[in-house]
Amino acid sequence: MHKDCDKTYFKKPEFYRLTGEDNYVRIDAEDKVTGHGQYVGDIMFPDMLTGKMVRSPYARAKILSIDTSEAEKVPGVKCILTPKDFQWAAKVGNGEFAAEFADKEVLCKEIVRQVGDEVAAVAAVDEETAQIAADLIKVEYEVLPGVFDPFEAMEEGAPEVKIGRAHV
Amino acid sequence: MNHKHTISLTVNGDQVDAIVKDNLTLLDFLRDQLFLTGTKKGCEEGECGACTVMLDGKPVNSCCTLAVECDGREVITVEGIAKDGKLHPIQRQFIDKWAMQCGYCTPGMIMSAKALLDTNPHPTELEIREAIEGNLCRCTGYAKIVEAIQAAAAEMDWEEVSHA
Repeated sequence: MHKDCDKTYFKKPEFYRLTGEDNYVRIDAEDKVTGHGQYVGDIMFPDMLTGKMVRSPYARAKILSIDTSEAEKVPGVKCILTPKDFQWAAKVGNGEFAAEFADKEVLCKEIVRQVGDEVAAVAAVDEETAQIAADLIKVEYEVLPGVFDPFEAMEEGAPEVKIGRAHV
Repeated sequence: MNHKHTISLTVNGDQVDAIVKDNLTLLDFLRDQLFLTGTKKGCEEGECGACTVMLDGKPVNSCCTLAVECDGREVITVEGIAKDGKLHPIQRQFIDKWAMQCGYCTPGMIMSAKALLDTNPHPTELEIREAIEGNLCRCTGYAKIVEAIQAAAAEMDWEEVSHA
């Protein structure tokens, strides 16, 4: 045993200011029980727009074309973003930090790699309008074989979900 | 096609007249038109109970109730149960018993509890658990919430006796 071990200082219960005490009130408690506290979803601004995403229904597919012409005609739609608007953008993910995000793009340009991958975005005056417009965006896909199992992914010749890195 | 309806209802004691689309839920009506955002939007399909309000004294999921259905009826939300700046005993006990963490389920829990205590001032623990079975909490757990409702029932009982 280290010779300084007996000098280890343990904080005594009476020196705890918060742990084990219940004679104080959480500063946000009253806001929460009265409903006056604002969560992010409760915040509203004048002229606020609501956004909706168009997401991939396929686990792995090639994007052939995106047609937004019908969606643009919906009254109340203010902005539609497609991968073309992000040609300049770098990858969102940092490969050194997390391999699964290395190929992540703002909006998928060529390939979707999971169900729910973002392909286009709509901003409109309200949620209903945004959803109607998002549903009118036509995306053509060429469905590619996906990987649904870790053992399948480790096999020779498994589809490369992440480009240049098999088995991921 | 959306048709519009004129509705007239009471919300937290105030008379409200409004024009609503026929597909507008009571939840969206309260939040987006009346700005009563204390009623929370959780699953929007009647599972979580975060949107519970009292409609004619009964707890309902406002996400599964259409605004047009409430024409001529009385709605009470969590903003409407504190009287004259004084918290309702249920609200006070939720604070005292630490019955909330993130607080997102709290308004729904409080409304379910209020609907119970209004009809049954002396509930058993089982009755309390049955009353809040439609409200999901993902952080506090239910023990503290049940404790708070029991304490509120006792407090309301005591208030009644002391006023008599």
